[in-house]
Amino acid sequence: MTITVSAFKINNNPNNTKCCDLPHDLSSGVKYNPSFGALVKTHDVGETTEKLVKWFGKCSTPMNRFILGVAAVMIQPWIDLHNKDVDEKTRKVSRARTIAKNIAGVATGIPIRILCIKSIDALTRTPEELKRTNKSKTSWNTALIPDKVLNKDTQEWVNFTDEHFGEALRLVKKHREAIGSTVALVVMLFTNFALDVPITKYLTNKLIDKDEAKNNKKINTKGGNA
Amino acid sequence: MNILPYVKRSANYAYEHMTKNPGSMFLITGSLGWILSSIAQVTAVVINKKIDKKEKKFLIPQEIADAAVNITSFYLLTKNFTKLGEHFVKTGRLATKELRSLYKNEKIGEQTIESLLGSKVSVTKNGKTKLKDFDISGLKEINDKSAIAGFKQTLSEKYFHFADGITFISSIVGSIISCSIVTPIVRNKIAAHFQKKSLMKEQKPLEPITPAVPFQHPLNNDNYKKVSSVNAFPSGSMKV
Repeated sequence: MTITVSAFKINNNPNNTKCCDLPHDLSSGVKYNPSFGALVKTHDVGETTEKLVKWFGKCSTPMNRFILGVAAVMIQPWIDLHNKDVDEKTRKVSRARTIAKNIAGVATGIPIRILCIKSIDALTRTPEELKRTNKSKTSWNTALIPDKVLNKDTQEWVNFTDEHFGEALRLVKKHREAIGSTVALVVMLFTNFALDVPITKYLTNKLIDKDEAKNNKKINTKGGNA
Repeated sequence: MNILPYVKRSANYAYEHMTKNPGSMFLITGSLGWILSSIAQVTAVVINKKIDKKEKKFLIPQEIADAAVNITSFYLLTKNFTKLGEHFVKTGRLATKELRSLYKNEKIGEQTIESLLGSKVSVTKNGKTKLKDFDISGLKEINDKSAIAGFKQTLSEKYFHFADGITFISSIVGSIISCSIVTPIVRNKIAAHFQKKSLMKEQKPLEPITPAVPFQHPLNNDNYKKVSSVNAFPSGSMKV
């Protein structure tokens, strides 16, 4: 028997002992098993999409930064150039600075992220990873893994049995991300001023020069024709 | 000097205060990152002699507004886009064929994963159905023994690879909309407003035209007679 309640189809399954709380209007002795297939409109992705989604799932933070940087360089300058609230010269300078800023951000941001990830990975090696790679073990290999997760003396997981190994790995991954974002912030404190500022300034001026040269050429050509 | 104990202590501190509470940690580091970057970019504009003062009046507020709008739009848009992606996977609205067949056919004890997770669906007080029936991490809450079987490497990998991919795509879409479309439009509006305001302030007010001889107020007959032009060209007996 199937009961339809507010767009959800709910199967009446009297044998199902593990039943959830019932909606108030259905609580009069009706048991049901609201499985995912029956509850919502679902969609199974195709094979190509699945491959693409899984590829994105493996994407690292530097790839994230690269995609966002490319999108920013493609979209933001166009918005700046069509800003009707300011005069044409301001628009062009603003566009030049936006392009320069985003290029500088990607150029410095990606190597910094890669370096941070590599160094944090090197200091948070799990015993299993070390076994797999046959690398000699030092106390630095697990230096950033907290004592509550991995016993520093026995090098064994704390509170994680073999069956929960996947969970332990996800916790280490989360811990790496947390440390990574903090380390990146500290590194950025220096690189923003030491690298981003001069690169942005240099590229902005180059783009302004290029724009001015283009403008002059246009004026000269028009003058010649006249 | 052995610095290893200090590194370990920092790792333990990070675990307690950041790993266990990633939400507020990313909020702080993310916001600080934007503010730092904004300060650096303002410096880049200030020290650039090639940019005119007038353009600087636009670019400096633009950069400050960029950080403020970016932080706001990130929490209003990007985070919600990411949550939406996660929600689609957790509720099984989006899945792979292989994953769905695993859920339907693979059994933990007597029950399939589908029925085990289906039993996690609950109805909230306001009558809304809380959909949680595809979230593999829900298996652990049901029964520890089931969880052991449920977290088998194959199923776990298949679910998390797909879930991570969807989360990544939704966060990228959200980030592009908020950081590359919404932020530039809003920051430009704010910066243009400040530039206009600043330029208007800078314009010298027109000097009032002062007559050669200041008017005597109130301009009655006696005062009028004192005005030099009247004295310079006396009208004689003629009454003015």
